Amino acid sequence: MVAKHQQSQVAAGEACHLCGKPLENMAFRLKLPAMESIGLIRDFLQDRLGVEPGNVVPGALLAELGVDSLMMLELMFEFEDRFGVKLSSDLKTPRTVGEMVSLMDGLITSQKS
Amino acid sequence: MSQRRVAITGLGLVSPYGGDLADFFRRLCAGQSAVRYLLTDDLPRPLSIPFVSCPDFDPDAALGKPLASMMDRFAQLGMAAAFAAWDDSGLPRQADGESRDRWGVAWGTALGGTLAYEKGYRELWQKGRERLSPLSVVLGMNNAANAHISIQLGLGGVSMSHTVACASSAIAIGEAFRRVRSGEATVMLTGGSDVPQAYGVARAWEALRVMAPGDADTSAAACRPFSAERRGLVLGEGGAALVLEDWAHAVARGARIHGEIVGYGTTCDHHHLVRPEADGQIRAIRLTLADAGLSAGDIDYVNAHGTATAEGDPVEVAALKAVFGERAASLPVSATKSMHGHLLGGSAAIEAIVSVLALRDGIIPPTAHLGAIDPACTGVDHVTTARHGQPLRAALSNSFAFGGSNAVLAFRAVDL
Repeated sequence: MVAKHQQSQVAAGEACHLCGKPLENMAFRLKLPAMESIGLIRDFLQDRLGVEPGNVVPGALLAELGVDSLMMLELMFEFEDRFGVKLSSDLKTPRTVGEMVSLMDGLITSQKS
Repeated sequence: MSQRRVAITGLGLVSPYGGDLADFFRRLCAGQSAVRYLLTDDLPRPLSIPFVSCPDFDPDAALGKPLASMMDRFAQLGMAAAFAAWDDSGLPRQADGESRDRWGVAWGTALGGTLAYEKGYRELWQKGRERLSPLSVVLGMNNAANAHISIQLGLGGVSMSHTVACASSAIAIGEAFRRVRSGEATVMLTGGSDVPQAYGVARAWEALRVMAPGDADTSAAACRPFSAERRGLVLGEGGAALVLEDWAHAVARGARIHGEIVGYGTTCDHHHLVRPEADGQIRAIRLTLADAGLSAGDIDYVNAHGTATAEGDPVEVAALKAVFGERAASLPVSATKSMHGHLLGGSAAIEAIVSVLALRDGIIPPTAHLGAIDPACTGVDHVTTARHGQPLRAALSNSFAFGGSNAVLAFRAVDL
């Protein structure tokens, strides 16, 4: 299913603070329906770590995909940034792609409400 | 503890010409400049300067995406140079049974992860963002390059960086040399890297009025050390690395030995932050010769600091004349910054490589674009075109930094 992407509030020309690429071109900066969370994670992991999207499945361990504690911080930071929320500091760190999807779905739901 | 001989078994760099080490040295010997005109799109006013870039360097290809994404460009250049030197030494990247707990890294960088910090300032102050990536700290820290190198090569001994402006990597190499010579370390990976194209850095150097001007037509010949027409220095980005190894260890594993590092001396002018004094340089050169057990008559080539500033070049020549006396007039000297530019913390490393290759191959690379020599810089044998077939015994490489910090390295050819 192809979701209709809606541009989030990214200033024209704004670049990713890490890789320098234009944010408006990065899929994970787009607001997506909840069921597309996994697509967003796939885009992020492909962009940052070169992970094959086909390997990003709910049961996959994030650590085995190359997400160490630093990259996890960066992932969470991106999601906070995108959804305009602050993750609680005692949040349980997701171990699998599926747990990350649940976390993001929760964020999207809370943002909508 | 008896002193060990120290072999240079690995050389590696990110070449501004895009090719490998042999290609780099061949182009230097051909007098080919890597300096190009750099025009950026920076706000509020673009950089418009002669500069040396490494445009063909692809961090993702050289390091792999996950590693490259954890690094500022200075660390990417350093890591790529370190991998190249390590591979050149014939040592496997993964330890193969022999403990590396006493193998270490001594790196040089004047600026560290300045580009990461600069990106952060732009986000905060130009784009009005309120937060920065959690990776900013590990991208920006000055010891990022040496830390990554230790991790990637499994080196469990000392891992440190030296920040001594233009002499950063000379001091890094010298300190690494001492550790191997004393027996404290069996192998040291050393060198330096920097990215002076950081907007605030390049602007600051411009403000000092020591940068050579140039446009698309004139930039290639903008850096003219010792010339009557010199207009200043040309900055460049880059990384260069050497593997220093206990001689017996190198011989036992059948390593190819490019050359021997035999001396290191460092002093401070203790006089002025930016105006060099011959006396401090003279003491550094003499300390190095004494450390190496060499006399002035043994030196067949000097790779000069030679940045092409109005003040610096004559002082360096005066120091050489004071140390070498009557021999100075026939002492071959060249400043290869005329072609590879001034890499700040990476300069001494790339010039150490040039010095070792000169000794190994018996070729003295020239000072490019040196037509009319400044009368204030005469009195040594300026090499203006490459000299081939030279039976070179030993060479010095000078690095004289802002702050008055001087460091000189001495190298000896293997077969002579």
